[in-house]
Amino acid sequence: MSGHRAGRITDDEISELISKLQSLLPESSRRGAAGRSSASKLLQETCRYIRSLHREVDDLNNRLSELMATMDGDSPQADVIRNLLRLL
Amino acid sequence: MAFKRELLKNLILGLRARAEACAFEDMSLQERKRAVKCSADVAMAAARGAAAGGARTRWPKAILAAAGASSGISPGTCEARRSRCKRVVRRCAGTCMKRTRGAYYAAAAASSAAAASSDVVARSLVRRRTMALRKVIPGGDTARDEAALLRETMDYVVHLRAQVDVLRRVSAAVQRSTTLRKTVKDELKEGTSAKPALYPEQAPCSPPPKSPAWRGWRQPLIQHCALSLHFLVYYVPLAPNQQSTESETG
Repeated sequence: MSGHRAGRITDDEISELISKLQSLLPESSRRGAAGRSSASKLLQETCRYIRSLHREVDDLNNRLSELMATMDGDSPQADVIRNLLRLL
Repeated sequence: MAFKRELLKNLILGLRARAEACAFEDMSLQERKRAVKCSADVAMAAARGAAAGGARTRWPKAILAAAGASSGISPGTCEARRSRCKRVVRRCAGTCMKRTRGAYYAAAAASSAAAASSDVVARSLVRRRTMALRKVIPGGDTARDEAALLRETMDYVVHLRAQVDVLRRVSAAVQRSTTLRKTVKDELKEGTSAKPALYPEQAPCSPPPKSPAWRGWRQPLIQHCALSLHFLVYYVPLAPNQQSTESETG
């Protein structure tokens, strides 16, 4: 993977980053791996995980957009938002 | 925690700004979805960019650049914004899907190449997977090497999870608020002549309130505002491994 750049990035550094990445993935993605997973499997799992997070964000955004439509501009909602912003 | 707070603030400000430009109830369903998605992504990217270490990451800049390109120079109507957003979203989605599919097919082809040595195949697989990862991370195309890409990935995953958490809580809060308003409205319809049970009986000499129904409506809303404020400090503390990663990347 880093053959042509051996002078700049060591394999150890890459391995360390990969193991850190592995710790970020959910437990279910690490099944079957007693120790290290292969790098390509880990990258694949990471892609899958990020895509699943994207889907979750899209679902939540869709939900929020439906709720925003029913939320009209009357004062109680403005009060709620103003109060939230005041705390921030 | 500070990141989530900043994200929430940006999200609320962004949604309000959009609602002022074009009321949500006047938008079509697709326009609303795009408006909310854009607000959420920009909120996340802006919060990360403002946080410690944010200047070293690429993905926030990539998201903001894409959002800036989609917003255009002239304000335009909802329709004009919709068509611009549609083009950007289609282009990104189409490119991602095509390249990811291509990467997977290429990986499958590489793995079935029996003539190549296992080492070459492994390297080729990793290269393909890395390419797929670059397409999924905003700004991943511009990462200079694998180490930088992996660091971007870890940073992005941590903050994407935070975005999911904030969106979940905001949806829940708005849902509760909508349900509460509906309940209060229904109660108002049913019992406008009776005094609300929330308030004790007035003393005989004091003047009766102008509108008992109004007071009955305000009390639950004040309670709800308190609940809404509490959800800001209600964030579940980050798990230890997330905290350590954030402090490393922060």
